[in-house]
Amino acid sequence: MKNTDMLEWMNDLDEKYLSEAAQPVIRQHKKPRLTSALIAAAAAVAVMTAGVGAYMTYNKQMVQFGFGTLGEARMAELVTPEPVTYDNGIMSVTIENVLSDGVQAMILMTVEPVDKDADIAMPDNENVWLSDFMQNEFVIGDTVSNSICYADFCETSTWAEQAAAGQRWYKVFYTLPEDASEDDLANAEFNFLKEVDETPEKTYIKGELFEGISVPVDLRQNVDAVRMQSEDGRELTLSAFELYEVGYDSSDPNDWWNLYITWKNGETQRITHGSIAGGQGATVHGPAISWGEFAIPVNDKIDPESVTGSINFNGPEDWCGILDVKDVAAFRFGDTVFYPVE
Amino acid sequence: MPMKDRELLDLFSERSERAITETQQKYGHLCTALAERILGSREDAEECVNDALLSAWNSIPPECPRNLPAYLNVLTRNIALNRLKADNRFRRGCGQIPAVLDELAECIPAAETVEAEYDRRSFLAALERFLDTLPRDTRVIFVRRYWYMNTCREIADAYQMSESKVRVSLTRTRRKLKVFLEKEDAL
Repeated sequence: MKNTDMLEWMNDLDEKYLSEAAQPVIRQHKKPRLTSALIAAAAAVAVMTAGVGAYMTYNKQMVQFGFGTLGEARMAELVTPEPVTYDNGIMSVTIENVLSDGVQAMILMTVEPVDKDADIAMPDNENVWLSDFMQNEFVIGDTVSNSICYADFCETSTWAEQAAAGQRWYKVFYTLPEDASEDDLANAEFNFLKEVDETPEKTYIKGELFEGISVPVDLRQNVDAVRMQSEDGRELTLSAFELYEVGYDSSDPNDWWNLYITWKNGETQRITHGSIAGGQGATVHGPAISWGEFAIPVNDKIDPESVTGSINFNGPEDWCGILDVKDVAAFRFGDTVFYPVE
Repeated sequence: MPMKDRELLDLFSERSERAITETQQKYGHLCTALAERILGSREDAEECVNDALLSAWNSIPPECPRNLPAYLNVLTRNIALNRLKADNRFRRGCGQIPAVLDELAECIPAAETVEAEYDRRSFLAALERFLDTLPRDTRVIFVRRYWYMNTCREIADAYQMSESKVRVSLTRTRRKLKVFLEKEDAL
């Protein structure tokens, strides 16, 4: 079956669908629910420093969010952790990476408000945004337009052009819970685009929100991320965040992806993992790892000697709940050991 | 005052030439807009609509459409797509066709077996089952885009929603459709 077949065959679609679609729907605009939060949050928007992630804790579970260029030393700086809240609770965010040849890193981030009085929201089958996002396996494509699913609203030609010019774009998608009002959605014309160039102090945030209310955050803020350095001077940021959808867990001792964490209490923990979903910055199922600056073809081994940047763990809620990166004494990947930078 | 559809159908049945002029007056703009979105040319679209009206004249009766505008749109769409094919412009595309084809390509099941390849009938049946699983808004957006070839902007305006919402709705629906077709193919 080809796409041209689908297009032609659809001509015989039952007329009930045609009639339904021919009827306009009049929507009633409702008052925005988070207006006060928007105003308050807007005041908190600040120029980001490049590559800084923001993290927060919620009920002692680590939730991490942030975006930035991965892998460059200057991008791995930590800032004082500070939770970000708005009137609907603490925001939870997950990061995915969109990959593009010739571009260091392009990151999509979804931000989903959660009720501060509730457990961290688990997306259900209807709220496919976050879960789909987490399950997506981004692959390296020639252009950003090859990124899965979001190309049509990523202004890919613009991204590709910008990427060719050496700029790196990050686009932030904010979503709302399922009970978001229509007006919440109607207000969603606010993209966050972060331009990273050679002078991070020039980094700025523009605003565009995709299908949701913009809830700007000061993305310089980190919580529970640890800056680490190997003996040969490579740096990375070790952080942990929650994965709502759990992939599979490989316990093959021969798996080349051997990651170990040594905690400050002396205990060493091997991090099992699944396969790499993609290359540069890909997020992996299971205890998922996303990498930094280098491009790794799908299914190829990661050379631990080339690891720099950020390594983020995400895993099941209960798993990440015990992963307090501040208690990490050492992080070994392959034969390379990273220690926290004092 | 436009005639009622029942009255228009009566004109067709009576073989009154007013059937064409009155139908053109009432529904010509809708059909022309659809044809133009497919063909990318106003002139071609008007020719297409003329052909569609002639086709309606030749088919009514014995056809007695329950939904005349839908019937006319079906004729128009079919004629427009056939015209593209005849001119070898189907793949090079006009109007919304290139974008729509690219989008629909995302819905093609990953693997069709020799035994379970979709044909027109099976695809339509599966598509309609799929559409029935969707919330109304989502379904409408999908049909407006891939049947009526409306742009996302047009859909957004018609339904008073943001264009970005339309786009993501379509993205999700395409993905769901692909999964649906793959599962059905596997059965």
